[in-house]
Amino acid sequence: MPKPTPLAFGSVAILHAVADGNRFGFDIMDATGLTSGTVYPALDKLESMGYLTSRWEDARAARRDKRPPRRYFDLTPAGAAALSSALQRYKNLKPVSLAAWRLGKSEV
Amino acid sequence: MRRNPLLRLLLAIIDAGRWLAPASRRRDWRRQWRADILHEWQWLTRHPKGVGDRAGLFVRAAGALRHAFWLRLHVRRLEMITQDIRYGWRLMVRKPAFTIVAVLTLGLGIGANVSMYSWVDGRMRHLVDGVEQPDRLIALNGTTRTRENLSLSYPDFEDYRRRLPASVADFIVYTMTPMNMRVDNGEPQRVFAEMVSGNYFEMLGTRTSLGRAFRPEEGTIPNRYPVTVISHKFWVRRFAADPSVVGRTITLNGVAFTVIGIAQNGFHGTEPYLNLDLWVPLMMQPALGPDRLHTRGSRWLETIVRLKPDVGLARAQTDLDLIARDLGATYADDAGSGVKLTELWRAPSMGGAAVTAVMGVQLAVAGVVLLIACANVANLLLASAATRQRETAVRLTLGASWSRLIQQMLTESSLLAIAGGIAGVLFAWWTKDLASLLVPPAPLPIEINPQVNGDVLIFAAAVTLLTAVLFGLVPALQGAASSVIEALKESATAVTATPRRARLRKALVVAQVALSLILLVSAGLFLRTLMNAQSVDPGFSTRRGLLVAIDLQPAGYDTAHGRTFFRDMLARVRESAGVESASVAARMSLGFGGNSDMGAKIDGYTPAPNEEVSLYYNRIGSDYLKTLGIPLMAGREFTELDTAERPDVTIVNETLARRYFAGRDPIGGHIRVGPRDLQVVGVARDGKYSTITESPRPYMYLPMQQWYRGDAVLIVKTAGDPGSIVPQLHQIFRKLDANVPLFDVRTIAEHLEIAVFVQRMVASLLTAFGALALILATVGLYGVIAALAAQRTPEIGMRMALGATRGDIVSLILKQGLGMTLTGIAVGLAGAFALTRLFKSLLVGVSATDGVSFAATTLLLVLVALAACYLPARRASRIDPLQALRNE
Repeated sequence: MPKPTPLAFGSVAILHAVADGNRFGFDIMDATGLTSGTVYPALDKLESMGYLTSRWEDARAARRDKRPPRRYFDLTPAGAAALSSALQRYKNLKPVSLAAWRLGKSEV
Repeated sequence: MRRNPLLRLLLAIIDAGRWLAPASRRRDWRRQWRADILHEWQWLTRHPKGVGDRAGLFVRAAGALRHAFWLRLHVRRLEMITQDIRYGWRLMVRKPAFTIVAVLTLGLGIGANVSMYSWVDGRMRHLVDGVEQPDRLIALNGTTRTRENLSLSYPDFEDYRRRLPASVADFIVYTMTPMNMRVDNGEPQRVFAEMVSGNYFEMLGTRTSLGRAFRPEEGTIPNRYPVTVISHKFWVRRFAADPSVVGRTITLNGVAFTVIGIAQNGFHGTEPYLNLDLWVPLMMQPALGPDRLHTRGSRWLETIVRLKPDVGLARAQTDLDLIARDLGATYADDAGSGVKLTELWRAPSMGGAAVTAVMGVQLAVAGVVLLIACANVANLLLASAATRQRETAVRLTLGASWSRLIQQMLTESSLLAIAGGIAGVLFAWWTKDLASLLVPPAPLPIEINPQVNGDVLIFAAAVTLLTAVLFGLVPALQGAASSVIEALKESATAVTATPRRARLRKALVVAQVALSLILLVSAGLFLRTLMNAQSVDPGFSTRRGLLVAIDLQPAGYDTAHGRTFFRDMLARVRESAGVESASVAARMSLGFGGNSDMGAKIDGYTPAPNEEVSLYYNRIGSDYLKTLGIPLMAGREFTELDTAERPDVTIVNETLARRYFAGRDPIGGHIRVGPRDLQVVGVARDGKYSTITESPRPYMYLPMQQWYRGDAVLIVKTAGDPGSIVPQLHQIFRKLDANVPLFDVRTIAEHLEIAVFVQRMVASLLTAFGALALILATVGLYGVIAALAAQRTPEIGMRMALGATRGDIVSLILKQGLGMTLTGIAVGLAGAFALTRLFKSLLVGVSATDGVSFAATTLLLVLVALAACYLPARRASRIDPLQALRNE
């Protein structure tokens, strides 16, 4: 069952990476900067939530490259919806000026 | 291609790491990681810059191990539920008979609760529909030292509203009144109206779908604005939803009113279970009858208060108490009186405690039916668990954990429960119209309209979940309690059933039998009550007679003309053929609607310090006692000579005579009511006045000619079929005055049906539920006996091989079934004995521990149980011993 609770940032980043065309575990790691120990479980979790689906790569293409077929991920419509609402959430954050904080003036 | 040693090491790590992953995911995990690593390796090889990053691959491979470990922890949650659902679904489909019986059983149990809840929901939350924030609406009643259910007078209402406390948003007052409506000089038609304060619609937050609601000035200036808002239903029914009705003139009780608006659809007024036709401003009341707007002592209006948001009932009560004290000090009429706030659902004006009590019984009964249904399905599941014992054992030895198996069993039971819940909602949906069968035959636009709405669906979901746990947990825990070795050793065909499991299943059957016995005993008590109630002496013996409601007020009669009309009308009716006797009364005994009472002083009787002498009374015409067949114990009946010009007289009942004229002759005694002094001229036998269950109460009769009222019931005692004189009556009335319509014509026998309405309703509900419970328990008993007999097949085979006859086998199985039944009956009798006392007050002429009901029910259950056991017993006795033993 997809959970209606907001997605964690990591999950959003992964969905975003998949939407951006990164379909394999390693590409997603590179795109998000997350470690494999985070990305792979998260991919499985997102799949179980119905936000991603996974398939095995076409065997002929893999054989041509002399390597086994890889597992690659697709965004589902539910995943796309979840991603867009999550991005909206980030977009809705009020812009704040960080200048003062950078200067350390807050510790008055 | 010879692989780089580094790559081989990486792949070896993945090969070894796969044992970290759970079995179900091992292959895929390894495949995924090998492919990803090989691909990455190729990419790094092709890009010279990447060669240095090869070491980084090890870090990434470490993530693979974390992934594998994570899968081991989480794959259960990810996969098992879907796997269990799929498995449970397959089981359900594979055993359709089991599934159908279980789903139907649960459906009946859940459906009973859902439909009962929809009634309760209707009362608790939809008593006043189509208004804003109904939960803020609270009923207000006037109180005196001894009573808490009085209405309010109009001056009091104005005073409370003027001093509106901070906790209260607003007040409204209203009263229901039947009216005669004529449109374009057509036939007069009876409509049900509410006279309401000018702020009625505004305070309730009800809009009009067409036109407008009342304006402030229409609620403040008497007799100036004859306007009316009609209900949506009435608009559709009477005016075919014609929008041009707004602005038209209709005549109500002889006064021309302008229709100014149509109330929004769904708003039916502020009377419980009634669909009102129209609303008029209270300010028009003086035009429609004797002015009651200016008498502070005249308490005739129901009141609803809207609390401010976040204000509790207690705070508003405190605020209003202060005002009440103030008013009591200012006005003599208000001395000693106060007000009391009550939630609408238990307010006296909304039917009060009696309806709430009946609903309580309904919910409790439905709950019992659900328990029986759960026990039944739990039993079915136990039976299937017995045959799945091997499967369970094998899975346990292969490493499944008990929590895993319990989770799976609960998933299966939830699947059944959800299917049952859906069936239940469907049942409730189909049967919701049956509620209208329980509508009493009263001359009112009654509508009991339970809705299967969102709240009810939420309730249904909650009940479904509860049942899943109730019946699913038993077999699950039962399974968990036995050990693997035991489970493996046992086989489905063991010579004797597992003692523990058999014991549990027997206990469930015993519980079912006990619960159904309780329901059946209750049903029996109410059936006997119904029979008794129908034969209770209502105090009058006339059965062949006709009751006709008439109302002179709308036809424009004043008191003097009304008196004359009644005298002439009675004289003509008495002359007509087939009429033995005729009279009038302000109200007929045992009808709907309360009794009136008034404070009195009785000469020669000194009330106790805190006693208020308050006498119930009825206004009657001459020959009333004779017409209804009420024996006169002493003195005389009212005659045509007891007119307004003659001294005030009264007839009292035996109880009044006994209580207030103890040791004295009541005839010639004096009762003082306000300024009037009534002389007792007769004593009538006691009767039932409001309800068939009431205990004798003091009662007095007043002559209609001396205490005139325009609305009355004409009572006609006939020689033959009461219906046959209806045309004659119409003729008489047309001759006397064509403007006076006859309405609500019914026979006395029909009227008496109303008196037993509550008993009939409870009896039919309990009988229906009792029958349902009996069916469920029978199915349960049959199932268990059949399963136990099937499990004992080898034993039976052996017994037969050793010389047992078929009769021996039948009696062996029957004994087992009867043992369970009798235990259940014993438990049930004890339970019924304890529980039936609770509804003592609803019973008539039968004690809560009535022997006949208890004995008859017990007998019925034993017979049904024997029948349920006989089939499996007979089947067991036909076992071929050779076949049975070969299976071993």
